[in-house]
Amino acid sequence: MSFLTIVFKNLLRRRTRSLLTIAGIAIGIAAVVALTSIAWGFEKSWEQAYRARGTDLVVTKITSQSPMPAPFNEKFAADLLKLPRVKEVSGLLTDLISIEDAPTTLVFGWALDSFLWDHLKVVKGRKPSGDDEKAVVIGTVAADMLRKSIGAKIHIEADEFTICGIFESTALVENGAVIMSLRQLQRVTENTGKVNFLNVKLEPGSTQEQVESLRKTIKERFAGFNAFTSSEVAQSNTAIQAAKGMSWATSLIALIVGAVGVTNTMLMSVFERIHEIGILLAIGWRRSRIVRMILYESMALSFLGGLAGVALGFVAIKVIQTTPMIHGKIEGEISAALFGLAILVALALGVFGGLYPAVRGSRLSPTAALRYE
Amino acid sequence: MSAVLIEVRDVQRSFDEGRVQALRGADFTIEEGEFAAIVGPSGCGKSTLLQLLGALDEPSEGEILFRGKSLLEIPDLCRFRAQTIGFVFQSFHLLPTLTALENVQIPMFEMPWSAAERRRRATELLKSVGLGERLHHLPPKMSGGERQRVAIARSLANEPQLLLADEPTGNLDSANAKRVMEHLQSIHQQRGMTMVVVTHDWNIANFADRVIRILDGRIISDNRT
Repeated sequence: MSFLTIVFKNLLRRRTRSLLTIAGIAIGIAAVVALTSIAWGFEKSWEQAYRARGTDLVVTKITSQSPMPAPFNEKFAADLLKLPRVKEVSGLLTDLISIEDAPTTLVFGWALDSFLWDHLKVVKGRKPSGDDEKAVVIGTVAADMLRKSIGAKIHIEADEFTICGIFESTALVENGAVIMSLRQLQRVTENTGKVNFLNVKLEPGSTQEQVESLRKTIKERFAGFNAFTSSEVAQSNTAIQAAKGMSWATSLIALIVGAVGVTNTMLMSVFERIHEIGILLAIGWRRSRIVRMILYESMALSFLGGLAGVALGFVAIKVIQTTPMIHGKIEGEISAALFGLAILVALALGVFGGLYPAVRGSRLSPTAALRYE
Repeated sequence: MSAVLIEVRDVQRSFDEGRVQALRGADFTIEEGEFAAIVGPSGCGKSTLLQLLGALDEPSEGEILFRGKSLLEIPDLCRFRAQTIGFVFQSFHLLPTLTALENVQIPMFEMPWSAAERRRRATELLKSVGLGERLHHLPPKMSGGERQRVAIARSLANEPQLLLADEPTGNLDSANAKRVMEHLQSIHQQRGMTMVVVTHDWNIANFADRVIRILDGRIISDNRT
């Protein structure tokens, strides 16, 4: 008989209670898995968008926390072009706009001759032909969401535009967006001559050190501006930070509820077994072994709850992705790292929830515990 | 003359801030290889004395020495109990979810033995108390006599130097009580193990070589047969 045999036999005594505790932990872990997966997926989709555009650095103005950086003069692009190894600089304007009945939609304004268009695959129609044309292209997911096709009219703020093309992008976040010429979006949002992002493309073959050096130069030379790599810009995005913050806050609440459940179960289990713990102490078990036995029991519950929670969380992600608000915009990230994180969190929950009952059980006096019935 | 294993020096034990005096000054020694019985009526302090001898409790006054060393000076009493003392209780105190074989292995976790070694030793011990056919039975499915024999096997698990039995036949009929006492007597004779049995029953006390009578927390007689 191994030590773990005793642990599992103890858990099997009160099967219903053990199962209910496992279910409670599973729900908490499922919440962590689903929310973290979506937050990570959200971040990843933005990162993909910048990578797909071929952007090496993204320059924005340092502003207070808001979903989109504040617009600045587009002529700043010319200053960046003078820096070493900079091949192209493309200014763009991005905004979140509520379009007709659809939820808030990302609207991009891109210069029509910009390299930003290169990665888009226009599956139907064409891109706008000139800055004066009141036309937009929409992503495949946006087309579904807005229930619009080529030639249809679309109302953005007070203006009416014609859909001239439908595109597909490798970046999920762009597929749910509407893109028009930079001039048109500047006019619609009353930001004439302004952009809120500058996408910088370096000479081919630029090394990581050269990208880093350019980033430092921009930050030092242009006060009030910041330069990010594509992964950093996703991380620094306020919306992504808010999504991650929300996911952690909700996860934390779920975990606290889970930990209280584990503590309650293990305390009940200790109170029920006071007499037995007395026997174990009387026949020579060290107090540390009693602590270990109770901690292993709570960790076993948490581990099983963690496994069930991961499975439940993955199902929840699939369900959430089918909801109209999320569909096509965010793809939850299901990875080994997330699985590992969930199991680690579950085990930590077991240790945290089991510690007090374990210490309490180990501190019993053997004579008092033996008398206890 | 054998060496002294236990020396009890003017031991007193009170509870409830001195309102209850369970032991009022016990003084005696137990020699290596001795089989002693502590006899007295219910509530006379004999079980309290046994718990003190087994390092489960501490005296309010006085001290107990094991091989000349005060129990109060032993840093790890759990380890001391595991390696030195075997306990047999009136209510058997077996773990109900573990089989007889598993119950006997419980104290062995404190010894540096492998799982296979633990199993081998537990099997041998159960065979030695006539339970070779009941290894995988759970305590609730066994008779009182069988359960007490499992408890005896468990008390011998770590090859203790002292076996303490608290009313070992208290929950048994006379036939089973006799059988259990014969087992204890045989263990004492074969292994030369020091044993102290607490009982209220003179028939049980008569199995021992020495009878210490206790009344109202005081030793009133101490006779060797």
